[in-house]
Amino acid sequence: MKPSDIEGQEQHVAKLARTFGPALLLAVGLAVGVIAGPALGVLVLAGGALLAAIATLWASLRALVGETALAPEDAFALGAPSSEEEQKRAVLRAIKDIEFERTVGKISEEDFSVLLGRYRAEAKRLLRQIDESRAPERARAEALASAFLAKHVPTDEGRGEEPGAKARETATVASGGTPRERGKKRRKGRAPTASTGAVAATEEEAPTVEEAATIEEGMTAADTQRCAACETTNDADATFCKGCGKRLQREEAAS
Amino acid sequence: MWNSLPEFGTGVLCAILVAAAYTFTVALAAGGGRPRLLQSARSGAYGTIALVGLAVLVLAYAFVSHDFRLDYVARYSDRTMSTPWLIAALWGGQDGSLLWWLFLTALFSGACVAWLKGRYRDLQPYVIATQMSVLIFLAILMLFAANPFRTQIGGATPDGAGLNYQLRNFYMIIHPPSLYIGFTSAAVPFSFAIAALVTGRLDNEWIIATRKWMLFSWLFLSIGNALGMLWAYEELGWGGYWAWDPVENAAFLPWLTASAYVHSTMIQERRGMLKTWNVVLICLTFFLTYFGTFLTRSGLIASVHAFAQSSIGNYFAGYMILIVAVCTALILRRADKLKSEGAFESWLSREFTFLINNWGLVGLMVFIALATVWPRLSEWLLDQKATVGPTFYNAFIPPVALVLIFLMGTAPLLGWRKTSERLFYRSFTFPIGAMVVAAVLHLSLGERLGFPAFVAAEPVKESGLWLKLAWLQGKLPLVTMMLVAYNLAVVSQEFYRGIVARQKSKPEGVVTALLRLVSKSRRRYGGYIVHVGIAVMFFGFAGRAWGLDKEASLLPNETMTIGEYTLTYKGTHRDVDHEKTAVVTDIDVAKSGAAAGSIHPARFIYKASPGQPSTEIGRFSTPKNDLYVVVGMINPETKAASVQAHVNPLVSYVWLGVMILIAGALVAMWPEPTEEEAGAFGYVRALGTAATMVMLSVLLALAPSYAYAQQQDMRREGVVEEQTPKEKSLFSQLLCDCGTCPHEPLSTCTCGWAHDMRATIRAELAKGKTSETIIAEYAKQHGNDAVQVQVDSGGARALWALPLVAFIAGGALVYRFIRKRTEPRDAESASDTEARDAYDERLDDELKDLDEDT
Repeated sequence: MKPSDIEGQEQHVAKLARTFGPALLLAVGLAVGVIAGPALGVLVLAGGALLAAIATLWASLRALVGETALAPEDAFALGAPSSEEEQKRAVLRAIKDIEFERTVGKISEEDFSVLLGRYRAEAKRLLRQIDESRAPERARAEALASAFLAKHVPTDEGRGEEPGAKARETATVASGGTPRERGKKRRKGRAPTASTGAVAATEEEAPTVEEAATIEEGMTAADTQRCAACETTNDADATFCKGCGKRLQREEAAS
Repeated sequence: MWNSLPEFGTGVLCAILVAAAYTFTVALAAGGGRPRLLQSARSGAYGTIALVGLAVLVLAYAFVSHDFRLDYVARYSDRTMSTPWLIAALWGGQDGSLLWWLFLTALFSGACVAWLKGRYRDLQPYVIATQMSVLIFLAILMLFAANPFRTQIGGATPDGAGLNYQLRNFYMIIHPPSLYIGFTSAAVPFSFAIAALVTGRLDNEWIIATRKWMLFSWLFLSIGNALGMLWAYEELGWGGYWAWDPVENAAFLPWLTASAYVHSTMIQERRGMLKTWNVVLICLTFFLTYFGTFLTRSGLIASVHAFAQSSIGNYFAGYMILIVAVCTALILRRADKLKSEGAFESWLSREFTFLINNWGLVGLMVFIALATVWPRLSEWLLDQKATVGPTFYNAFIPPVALVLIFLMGTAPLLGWRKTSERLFYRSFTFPIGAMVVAAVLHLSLGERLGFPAFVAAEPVKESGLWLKLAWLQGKLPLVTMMLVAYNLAVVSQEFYRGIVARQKSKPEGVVTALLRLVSKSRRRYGGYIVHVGIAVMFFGFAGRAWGLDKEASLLPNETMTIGEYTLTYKGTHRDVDHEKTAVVTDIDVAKSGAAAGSIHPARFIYKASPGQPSTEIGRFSTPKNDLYVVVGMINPETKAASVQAHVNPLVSYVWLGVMILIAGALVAMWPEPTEEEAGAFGYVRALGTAATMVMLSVLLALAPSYAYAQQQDMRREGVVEEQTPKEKSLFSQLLCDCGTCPHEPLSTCTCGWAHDMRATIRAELAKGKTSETIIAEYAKQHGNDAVQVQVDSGGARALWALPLVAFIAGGALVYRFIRKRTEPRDAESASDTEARDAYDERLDDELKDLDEDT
């Protein structure tokens, strides 16, 4: 079994344990308590707590020494709003609030205009900050997409597209949509996920534009590899899975 | 038997300390932007929490398996107790209740860590570190001062002492946990505040993160305090629900600062002001949750229902000093970043009202805290023994509380920045009109209904200032009713305006408009509902001004009359079960001449402790008042029974107000539909809702139920006939010195000693002695601590003068503030703001989405 297979299985078991473990433990404890007496039921629960303590502390130590892959919420911070987004949402609510107060006549037009101006300026400042913080990842996504498209998608001279337009469009899809679409997805409880050309996890893991181009040069349509974690088919020399974002075991591409 | 259980349990406590310290270190190290360490810290936090759960379960196992090797198990359980009582005994004593505290703190830490996930990544490491530091302190406390796994010196006993029967009732099962939930959940907002101070990220980020956590904590502090009131009402048997006991005060103090915070935070969100206030309020709330425990468990202050004294006081004192030192250092370090972005532009503004509200609530907190520790301060500083009781608190707190009630209704009516004349008249006309109508109705109809607008209040002393204070106290019932009407009118007006505004823009029915109005602005309208709850509670509090108290010794078929009720004592009968013998008294109740039912106050004599009988109260509740009856001694030969009766007007509205307050808090806490709040906080909220509803449903179902009155080795006998307000005032200031009762005032104590003393004092009053002379002689004979704060001794004079000085100084400061800080700024206009750009379009789209999503 490959190490990545073992890790994948471990994570699968951990996820199952996290989801069903507490309820299962409680159910078993209650059942034992009813059948064999409350003392034994409490003992079962205590055993479960001990196992949970050992498992989580072991996971903590493994993460500390770098034996486990970074969890998505730490690596990508996907699905979680940044502090600027949280603040922006609060400012939007403040705007709605004073609009409501104006509707019911609790604020004068003059005060409304002044406050509205301040809140809008603050909201725009936060939007700019959000865009600025995403700019590096967006540029990287565009570069990866450009390299991939240059290799695989034939240009259509009749369409007269801008050279980078397709790449930017792909990068937009890759990052989960436009900022407005991402925000809407997040509000509806769906984390904006990266699709093709996954955004790099950390600075040390992200391929540079040159590396991405080198990767693209070595790829042929016939070369594929499967992701051990999610079984998605990827290009033979892909570094990260396009389905789940995990690092792939790169196989030697047939020359 | 699990042979190594005591060692294993202690070992688990050690493991908790090690795991918490490890997680603390890793979390701090993750503060440099290292996601791998952050992931490790999160897992470490979960592991620590699992170990705490393990410790609780091991102790629970010891209880259910009757492992009397453990001193704690032997003291608080026995073999006759059923499993539910064995589990409840987990928090029956100090060690177990501290372990429960540790458990709840760990639980909320886990919920917070799970909720955080990828959010607030800059704050997360320090949030986790702060939470772990709290767990470290509690683990050290348990290991070295309050280890529940400590074994008995003489080895295991065949059976335990059992849980005190006074604790074996429904309220004692739910009151401590609900209060502890309020205390322990305050650690979460505190950890965010510390994280914000450490990182310097003091804009609205941490305020937004902590908003609902603090509301959750405030909700459970409210429930805990309310359950405490209910327990006191049905347990202590003196006819009231709040006696300003140190334990009660300790639970009330953090509620005051939390209330200030949930309001003050709005000013920072809207205007970028009061940043220092908000940080201080959160730190203060967290500090007070430990201060209260320190007071009641260190033996510093005597209390009617204080816990056993122990050595943990030093640990708490050290921890509190550490909290103060760290918070002060961090706040001073970040003073620059805590400067307000805006300024007060008018005293007729919402911001200013909230500022006064902050001062009022914190001032009240300081007053109550000082008065609570005064007995100890008086001993240390003045070498004088003193007791501070309800007389002192009730002299000063009601006027301040009514000012705060007035502000509660006024703030929603005022505008941000300033209130124009037009807006002022438009907003205030209806509420002030309602206030005037309420005053007219009360003045004209009050006497006829049995609730006169003015009552006679006895002055503490027959001179100048005290007479004025008594005059003011006599007017408070009318003022309370006016302010209740004012607040109800304000809230009604707010709902009305909101519904009308909604209907103007969308064709909706009233009910639909109301539901959508509340749904769109849950915090605002949830808050209004809370205000209604508090107003209703104050309506109930006002009823105390018209309360009646009477006691008589009755033979079978004799009657006593109190107010509109006539009680006919029919006799007694005995009920025996495996635990106790109940001597039950049958009393028929007639109201205004018509038969209304019967009540059955009783005395329970437990087989396990026959020398400590408990008294069961009989209660007859109506919306207008409660008839509340306690039976003292019953002569087995003549069947003569000593019956103490109280009529408590409007008390049911206190409980009703609590229910409304809780409903409002739940509405305010409910997630906005656009917020991604699934996960841990969702579970916490759902748990809070479910727990609240279950508790309150059971309370409602059991409302007209029996209850136990606290009873010690006292002989309850004798007759109390309080005929004049002067006697009532005098007896409430003097404390019983019989040596068996917990220093109850002579006005409520029915032991033989108190009865004789009252007769003596009546005789002295009849001879022409003044109250002051009688009080001075009583203090000389029985000690200064037998009088609820004399007014003539040096230290007592200072204590009485302090609040008056504070009021005057506070008023002067407010006036100066208004003059200096509320000069209008140069007028800003909309044209001063930025020109439109591409971001404006995006902003408009997002605002439109916000509308669609709701």
